[in-house]
Amino acid sequence: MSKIKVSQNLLKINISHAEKIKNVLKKHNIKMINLIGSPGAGKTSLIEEALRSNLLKTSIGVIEGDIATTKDADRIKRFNVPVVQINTKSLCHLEAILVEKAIKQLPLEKLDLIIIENVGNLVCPVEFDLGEDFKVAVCSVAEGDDKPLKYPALFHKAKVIVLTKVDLIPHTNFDIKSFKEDIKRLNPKAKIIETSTATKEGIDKWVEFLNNIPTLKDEV
Amino acid sequence: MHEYSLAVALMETIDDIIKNQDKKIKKIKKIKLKIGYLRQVVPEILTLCFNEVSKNTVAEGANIEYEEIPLIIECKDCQKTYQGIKETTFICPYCKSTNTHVIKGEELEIDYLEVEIDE
Repeated sequence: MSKIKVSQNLLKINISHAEKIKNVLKKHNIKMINLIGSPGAGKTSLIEEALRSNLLKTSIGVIEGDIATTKDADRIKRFNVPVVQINTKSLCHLEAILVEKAIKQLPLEKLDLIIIENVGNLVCPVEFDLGEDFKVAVCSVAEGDDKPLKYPALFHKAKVIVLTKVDLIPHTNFDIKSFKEDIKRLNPKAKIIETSTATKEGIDKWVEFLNNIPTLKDEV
Repeated sequence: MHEYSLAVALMETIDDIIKNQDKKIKKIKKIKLKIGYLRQVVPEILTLCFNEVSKNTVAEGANIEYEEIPLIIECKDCQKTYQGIKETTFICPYCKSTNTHVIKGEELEIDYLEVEIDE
């Protein structure tokens, strides 16, 4: 019996695809964010609101990840924005090899920013680097204020957390103070953006954030 | 449940390691993994998935041993380190700085393999 010392990341192959994506994006001077949130958190709606806004000054391409259907890509297409739908069938998250293929279908020379909408899930997508600049967590009031502590990996890793459906707060027991305190504990430097697509509250802040990503350095 | 994906990735990485060895490997007997506290991995499920993925390969029947790496956080301001298990906080308990970072606990690593070599 002999021992082979390895000391390598188990996800080495995913990481190598993520590195290739980073090189392509760097070459074209494109930033990329990875939206992660539950099904129904409002990820697609946030992208739609940005595309609808006349404050948007950045050229966006979208990669949609879903188990099935082109429903999300169809919603984005109405805004005449380049979009690629990935159907993962049984896979509960996107992996870098899928995104690498999808990026090849986007007109990179025309884009400043790529938004990936990951498969709706608060757990698995966190483990797979897609070559993005950073992760954005999307959480809705309807899910409850306890989600940061229940899913610490996502809320620790995301640089930005978008709270959606804030117009529902008066109708629920959602405690925004406790939500923010828990995030502060897990991720003291995270930026929190409060939004509602129903009342348009905070959409300007969300769009302003997207406008500034192309000029951001490593830190938000 | 992303353990199946992790099992496939583990198999691919092991294939890659074996390919780059000078000697021919007959059988993998043991796989030692290091899993950080912040990684979302269920060892029992990963083992089950790997047993499926590794069927009819040199890794079939290999024993996977897990070492859980605790979360260690360092404060960049006061230079103190602390363990963040029960009440995970990234606000330094000593000086309240938010300028902290993880130094251990994010591992998802193949530490070593124990193998039988074809003489």
